[in-house]
Amino acid sequence: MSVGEGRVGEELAEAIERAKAVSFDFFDTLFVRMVNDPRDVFDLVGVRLGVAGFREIREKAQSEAFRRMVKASRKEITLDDIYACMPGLLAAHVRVDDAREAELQLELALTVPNPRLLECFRDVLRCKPVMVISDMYLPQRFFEAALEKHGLPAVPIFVSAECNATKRDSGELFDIAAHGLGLPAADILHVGDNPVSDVVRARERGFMALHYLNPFEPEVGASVLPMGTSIARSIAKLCPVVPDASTFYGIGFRHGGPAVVGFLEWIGEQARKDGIDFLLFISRDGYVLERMAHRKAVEGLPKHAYFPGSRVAFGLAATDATNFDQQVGFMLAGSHGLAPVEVLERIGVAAPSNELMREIGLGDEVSIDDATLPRMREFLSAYRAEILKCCRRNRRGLFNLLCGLGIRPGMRLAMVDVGWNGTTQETLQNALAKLFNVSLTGYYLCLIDSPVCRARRGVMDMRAMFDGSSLDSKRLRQLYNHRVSIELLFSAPHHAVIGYETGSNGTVAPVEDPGRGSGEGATKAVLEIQRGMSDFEALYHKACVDIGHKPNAMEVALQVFELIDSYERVGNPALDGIGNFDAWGSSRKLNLTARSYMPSTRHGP
Amino acid sequence: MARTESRTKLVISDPDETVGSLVASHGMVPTMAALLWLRQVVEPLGSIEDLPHNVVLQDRTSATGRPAVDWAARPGPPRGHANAGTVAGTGAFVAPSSCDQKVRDDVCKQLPPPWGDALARVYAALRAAAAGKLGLDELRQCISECCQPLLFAEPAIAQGIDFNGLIHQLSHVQSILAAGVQNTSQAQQPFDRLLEKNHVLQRQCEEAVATANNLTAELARVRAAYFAQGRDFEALKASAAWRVMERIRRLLSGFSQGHRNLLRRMAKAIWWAVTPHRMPARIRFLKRRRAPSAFMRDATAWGMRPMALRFVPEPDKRPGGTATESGSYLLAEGHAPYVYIPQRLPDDLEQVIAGFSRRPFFSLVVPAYNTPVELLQRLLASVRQQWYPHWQLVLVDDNSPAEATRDALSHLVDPRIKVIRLDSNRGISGATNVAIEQAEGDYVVFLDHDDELTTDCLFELARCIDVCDPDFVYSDEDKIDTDGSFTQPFFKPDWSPDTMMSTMFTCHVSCVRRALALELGGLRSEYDGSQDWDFILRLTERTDRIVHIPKVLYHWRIIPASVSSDLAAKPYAVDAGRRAREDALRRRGLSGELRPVPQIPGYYRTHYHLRGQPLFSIVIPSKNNGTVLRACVDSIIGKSDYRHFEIIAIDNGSTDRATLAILEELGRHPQVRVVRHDMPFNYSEINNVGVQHAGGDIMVFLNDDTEVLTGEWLQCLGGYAQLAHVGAVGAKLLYPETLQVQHSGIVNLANGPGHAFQHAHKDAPGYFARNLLECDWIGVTGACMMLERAKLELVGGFDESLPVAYNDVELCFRLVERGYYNVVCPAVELLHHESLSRGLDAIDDAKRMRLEREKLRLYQKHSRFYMFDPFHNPNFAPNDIHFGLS
Repeated sequence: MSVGEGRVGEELAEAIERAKAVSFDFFDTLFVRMVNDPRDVFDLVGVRLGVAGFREIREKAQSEAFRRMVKASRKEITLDDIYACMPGLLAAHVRVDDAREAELQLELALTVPNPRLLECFRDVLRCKPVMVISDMYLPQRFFEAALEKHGLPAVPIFVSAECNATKRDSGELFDIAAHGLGLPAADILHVGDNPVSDVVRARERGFMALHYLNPFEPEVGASVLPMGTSIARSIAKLCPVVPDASTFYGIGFRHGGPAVVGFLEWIGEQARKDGIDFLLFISRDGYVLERMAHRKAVEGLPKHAYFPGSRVAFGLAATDATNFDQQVGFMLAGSHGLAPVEVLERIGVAAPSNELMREIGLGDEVSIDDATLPRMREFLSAYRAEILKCCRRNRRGLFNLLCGLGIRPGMRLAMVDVGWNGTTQETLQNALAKLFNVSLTGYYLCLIDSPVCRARRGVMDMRAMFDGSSLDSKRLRQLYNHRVSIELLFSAPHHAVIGYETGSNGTVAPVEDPGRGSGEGATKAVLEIQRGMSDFEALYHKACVDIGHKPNAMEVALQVFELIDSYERVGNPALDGIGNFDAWGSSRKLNLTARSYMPSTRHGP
Repeated sequence: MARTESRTKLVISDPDETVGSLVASHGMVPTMAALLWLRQVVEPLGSIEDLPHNVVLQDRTSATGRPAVDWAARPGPPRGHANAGTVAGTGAFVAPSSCDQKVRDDVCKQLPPPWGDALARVYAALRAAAAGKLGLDELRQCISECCQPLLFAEPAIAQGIDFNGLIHQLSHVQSILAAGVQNTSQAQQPFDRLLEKNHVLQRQCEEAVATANNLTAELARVRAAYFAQGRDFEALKASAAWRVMERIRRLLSGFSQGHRNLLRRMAKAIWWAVTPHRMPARIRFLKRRRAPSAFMRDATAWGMRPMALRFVPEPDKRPGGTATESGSYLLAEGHAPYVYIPQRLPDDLEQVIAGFSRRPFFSLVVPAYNTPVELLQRLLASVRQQWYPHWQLVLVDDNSPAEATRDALSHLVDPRIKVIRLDSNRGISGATNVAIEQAEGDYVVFLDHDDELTTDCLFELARCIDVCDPDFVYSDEDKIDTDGSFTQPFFKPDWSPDTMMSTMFTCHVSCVRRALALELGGLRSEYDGSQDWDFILRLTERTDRIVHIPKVLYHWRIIPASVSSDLAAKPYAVDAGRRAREDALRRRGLSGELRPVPQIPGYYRTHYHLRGQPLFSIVIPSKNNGTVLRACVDSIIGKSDYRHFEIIAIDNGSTDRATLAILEELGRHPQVRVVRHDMPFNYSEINNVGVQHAGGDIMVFLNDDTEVLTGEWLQCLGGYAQLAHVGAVGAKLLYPETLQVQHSGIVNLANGPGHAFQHAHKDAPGYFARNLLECDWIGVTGACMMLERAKLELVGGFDESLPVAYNDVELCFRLVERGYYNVVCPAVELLHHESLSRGLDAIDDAKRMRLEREKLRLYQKHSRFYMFDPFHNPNFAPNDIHFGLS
């Protein structure tokens, strides 16, 4: 017999084997809702009705219905009871019947079979009597409709709202159900997620009972999630195996997917508003975005391409003899702890032999620090001809790439980057200024509130989904502190592009920096993350169609904070295991992980 | 007209006599002596007020008529002279009888050609002036022009005079003058003054010497620039003075920046004084330099001092080590001359090599003959240190009599090294062929017995072979100087078949697929001395899979009297090079001849004979520019030796009456047709219209502000234009006023297309003689461009979307894209007034912006050529039209 997953699944199979009949709880057991909290449905109803604050109104009405139920000595409320309390709470232009019907329809749309129990349910159906027992204000026809909608056979359904008896209070509903099925209670196994209603009360009433552990139980006292986040978080409920957030696949599904889907939707909206002619998804952050855009048309997205490059590649392309000395600072940024030749390696410049470097006091045994920086500056000055040769190669490659994409003077270009200060945009803008007269807008997942970023926003066109206007400073800081993890979500299965080689026929091959140091690198992790993202994306888009609702893009992307919060609470061995993800800061002398970039340890360049 | 008595009289001696005497009797460098003679002419010339009586010719044979002279002092009244003015001139350096006439003549022959010519021409002009046949202004102009050829030798002069030479020569002159003082009481006073001033000058120089110890960088910088000038420098370097100064240069290596500046200023002052005619060029140069100066100010603001990597040879540091091991690198302030920088061994070398789709096995073939053991050890060290592991070394001892060599070779025990001893001496080709036959590699790499490979040489070759699967690979190279330093880097163009017919530019390192080498029968002994040139000429007739690696992979050791130090040192090599090319012409079925290049002895250019009697159609766009157009047409009709041509003058809507009249008059000539095309200016369109009206097989696009100078121009250019592989052919265009280069080929630099060697002297060799030899270029100017009609039609004519600028470059780009080579023939000279017709393109903001737009359009259409010129080299300074180093 095929049953659910893990240890619970084995127990379930054994228990079913012993029982003559099986009863299932409905919500969060046999079926799940595609929202984080059942009450989030009210928000959707409000959206559909165009009633602001509908959630509060609906909860108030439900409380009132309970009050009336108690007063009338009944044991359960019904949906009709709740909506009977609505007049006076709802605006005059909203008809109560319409609201009730909307809720019913949305519940039906959001409720789907639990894939982790579905096969088990089908198996049991083939050999034993099966019934559904639910404490719920919804009418029996809802349950029948839900089963029918998803191709499941009709089974006896015992709903508290119809029977005026509940599981939760005394378990009376179990008696009614056993009687209805015509079997002794002791022969029936009840499976449900509520430890009291489904386990304690069932056993009290003579049922065998098995507690189904709901992996998506909302935390007690958790704040209400925005609708988009709620839906995004609930997409995992649709997986036969719950994506484990401590694996790269799980991170991709549960956090990366929503972040990418939300960011891409946001980019589409912005690009449409800005009248962008061409959108460059800059590597590596743009890889998964571009792949996603390639798979599914995104509203508002102009012509676009995955564009190999980085602040290193662009910064070098913008460098020539007129600004070389100013750029030395950029070349040495974050070089503390590196060996001198690594400063050249990370910009794609062939380094002199170690013997030569040793003779000038900059051999491999040297780690750059404040004392050696002046010597490094002198060395870069002496080596400028070689560095500038590399800069020219990059400028040539950049020009050929842009021409190959049909970029022409006067176009409105936009580039996509994850964040954080607009450095990449500045370097690309500087490089473009030497090539074309085009405008450039930057679209970012996040821009932090740093002086340098503020200064850049004063002179460049930079838009961010998350910045000081959309997130509070604590959340913004949190996002930046976890930037390496976030960049990993958006990364590509190739090394950082630090330059270009152009063939004599104009074909451009990116020059990549594999980084230095002992870390395995992130390529495998990135592929796993992207598999998770891809699965999320498919289920998410289907869910949106089923629900008939397109969530707010930023709310969807906010799901990424679950990763951050979780990391801060309990860490994440998967993320901590990635070494030298950031080629720029990597070194044979260092082993950096995501945690290395947190404020208490080491700042990135 | 009343006679004006100048305060100064110019007394002129025979330059040959003076120079000969100074060199033969006092050990002076010939160019220095020549310079002194010239200075004596030029400096007083400014004070002369009238001719001819103020110019006095000294009798060549007279030993007694020597007037009092102060060559180093400013003009002043001489004691006891009839006129109350200065007598200045060249007569008093030495007593002519102090050396033998034949010796003097021999010495004068040592002068490099520009110097000898200049002296002769100046002397002739002075004699004409003394005879009243030349006015003062004409004389000054004439002398200015005569000195022009010396301009490109300026670094040599600076080098020669600078400090070392000056000090050396001053002591000689001082002794001469001292002797003169003793012997000539009449000249006592001026001689005293002279002595005093010379003492002052000498003290200054000695102070400079004492306080400075780091002149090496500056001197080497000048030296690097001068190396590019080729043979003249080599001649100078081979001179005794140079070798003497070698020691002094080392002594001066400690000079501080301040003293270097002082000395440089002194040298510059002297040079400026003797070349007043260069002032306009200097002003232009200073203007051009303004941008870099601004950059340096920025650099200072950022606290950056210019630094350089230097290599200090230490021959005893590691006996038998490679060149880079035989010295130390240091980081020093200031600019440095060229230095080879060894590369870092990649961490992932094995992984990279394992990733190659082909891992060729190389056979390094080395013919050895009396190889000095130390050099053999250095060669072996350079081979054993190769990063790439798949190689064998095949050493063929060409029956060396030297026991040490034989002994060293016989003691080589290394499974990778095969030593073959020949019973008889077979010469370089014979020995190399044995090595090729015995080699087992996929590729042979030619290595001379006293040279070195860079450690990454075979790795880079393997990488190239992995990507391109070529038959022939060559790389850039440099030389190891006699003191162990690296010098004379040769940064080469990509494969250039016509350059190859002018000079053996591929040289080292040279890597050839062995099967092909065997198929060709190896090297041919009858071309020994230029056997490699002959081989590559034959090789490249069999394959077009030729790749150039723009990286120094080979160090060629300078051995005095070897080809590496001076081509003329081995006349048989020159002859073999000529014969190899003559044979190439025969093999290729081409009719032509090798003609000596007058400016650079030992060099020959290939002159292809015209095939058949083609009709040349010369298209000349013009508007309201009648006089200029007529001069152009007159020069064609009057000067062209080849007469089967037609001129199609396209009148782009002239309104000027005089022009219209000229056009009408020109149109009456049987070989001239005037076509009216009254449309807004579009150079491309006009030329395309011209082609429609032309009946010729070969098109010539000519600006109306040009004038033909070379009678053979149509045959010379046409011979190249008719070659199947050649696209556009251009000529050397000269500015009329100065005869400086206006066009000698287009270089596609980082900032855009530019004219190579612009404003250089027309006879200056330029980088590896590119200004004098027929070479392949990315493009040629449309001001004079010849192209076969069929090829023009194949690429679609001029692009009319580029109406004003870069349309010629664009056409050339398309030709290169279609596989053609564009050639410039410096043997053909025309005058070009440059933009006299339309004005300069960058004259105002609007035009500058249009120029920028068209440049962008050019590169958008041909993005592969953005910052890329296959006939240039990425190791050059990116915007230097003179092929200077970065």
